[in-house]
Amino acid sequence: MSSKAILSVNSATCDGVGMCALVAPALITLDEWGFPVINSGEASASVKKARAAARACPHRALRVEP
Amino acid sequence: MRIFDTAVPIGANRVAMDVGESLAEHRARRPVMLEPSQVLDRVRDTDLRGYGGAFFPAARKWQSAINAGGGGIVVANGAESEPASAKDAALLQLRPHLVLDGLNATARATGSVEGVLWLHRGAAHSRVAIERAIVERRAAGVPDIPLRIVEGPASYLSGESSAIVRALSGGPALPITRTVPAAVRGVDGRPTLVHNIETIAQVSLAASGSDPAASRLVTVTTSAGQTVVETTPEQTLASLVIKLGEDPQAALLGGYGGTWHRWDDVSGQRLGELEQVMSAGIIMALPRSTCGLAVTAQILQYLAAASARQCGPCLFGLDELADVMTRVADGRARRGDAPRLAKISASVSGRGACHHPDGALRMLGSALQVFAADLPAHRRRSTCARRHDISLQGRGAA
Repeated sequence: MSSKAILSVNSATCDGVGMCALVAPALITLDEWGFPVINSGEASASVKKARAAARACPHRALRVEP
Repeated sequence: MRIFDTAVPIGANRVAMDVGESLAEHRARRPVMLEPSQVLDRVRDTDLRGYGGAFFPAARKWQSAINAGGGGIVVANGAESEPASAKDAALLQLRPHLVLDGLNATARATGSVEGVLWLHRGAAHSRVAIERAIVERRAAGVPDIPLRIVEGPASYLSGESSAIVRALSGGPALPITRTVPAAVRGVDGRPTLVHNIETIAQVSLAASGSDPAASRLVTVTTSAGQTVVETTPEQTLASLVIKLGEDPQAALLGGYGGTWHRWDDVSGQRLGELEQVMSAGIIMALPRSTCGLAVTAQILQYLAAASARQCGPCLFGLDELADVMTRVADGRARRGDAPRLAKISASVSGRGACHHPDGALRMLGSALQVFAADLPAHRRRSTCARRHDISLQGRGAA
């Protein structure tokens, strides 16, 4: 598994549901309006969690690269 | 070789001048036309850059479209959303053949097969001028590529290039995060070159042998109204604005998403040095009699209302910034409003699919510095003595 994974949010697709932050609280915190902020640097440490967060999104607004 | 001989006054919703240049007048003024193969070289050699404010080298976009196999679309973007800009309307209405020649030269040089003129809905004067020019060219047998005039919503963000590509592909005219450049894969997957109207006009000038860096169109908004002026890089900002009868306290450069500057800090600078700061060539001179904080609050209200409402931080953040700033300008600030501005700004920064919120933050940040001395007068349920009952000058020229 690559250690260089990058987790990103497509903010136009994101609706602030917040599932991602529930699944991966170490990677993602929610801003005051409930929209995700990615804690940069953490994604590579837990690619599995990043993938889980992306899968949890009902709008498929999260992306894990590569 | 100049585009306009005089300054172009902008009237209510249109360019306040006579009809556009005819085909015969246009050809008489710009007789040379390079071969398509030479135009790319010319555009590369003169380092023609996008005049919509991004300054991306046109030749690099063109090369991407060529490498992608050609057969694509050239979009002349005439959706001039910025209320403080009217240069594109001036070109469309007064120099339609310069624009149409530029569009065709761009298409031929890049192997593109179709042209689109993208306008705001209701841009009647620009549309009529171009339609009239097309009829003239057909009658004269000018071998133009097929051109469609397409009107998008008259919203602030419908002039953003990813929104245009999305709309022309059958989607909504809203910005989107692109992973592949439109020049490679744009409208319906075809290479798509979206260029600002002035860029297209400059291609035309470059193809007729002149240097695009020699002059630049700017729109100046003063208390007397809006004027489009063709400027040279050596000219100072002061010489331009004072000639139009204004002695301002500050200037907003680069439009509503630009930056405020104290007049004494920028007035002596040459326009060439200010090119990037002026973005699409936009200068708003703030009269000494008007409160800069009040103008800033109004612009923020405008920008918040103009959000595409796709991205949460932009939607909620800009609304609240506008509300807080309006309270501050009206002398109704609450305890904690100042740190609140900073906190929201940090939460919104860089989090939109497009740069709309970042522009709003940039404008606000510069306003709080430039008008810092006015802030104390707006505390304790009062305001400064300058005018607050302002309506934003200029709605562009459709």
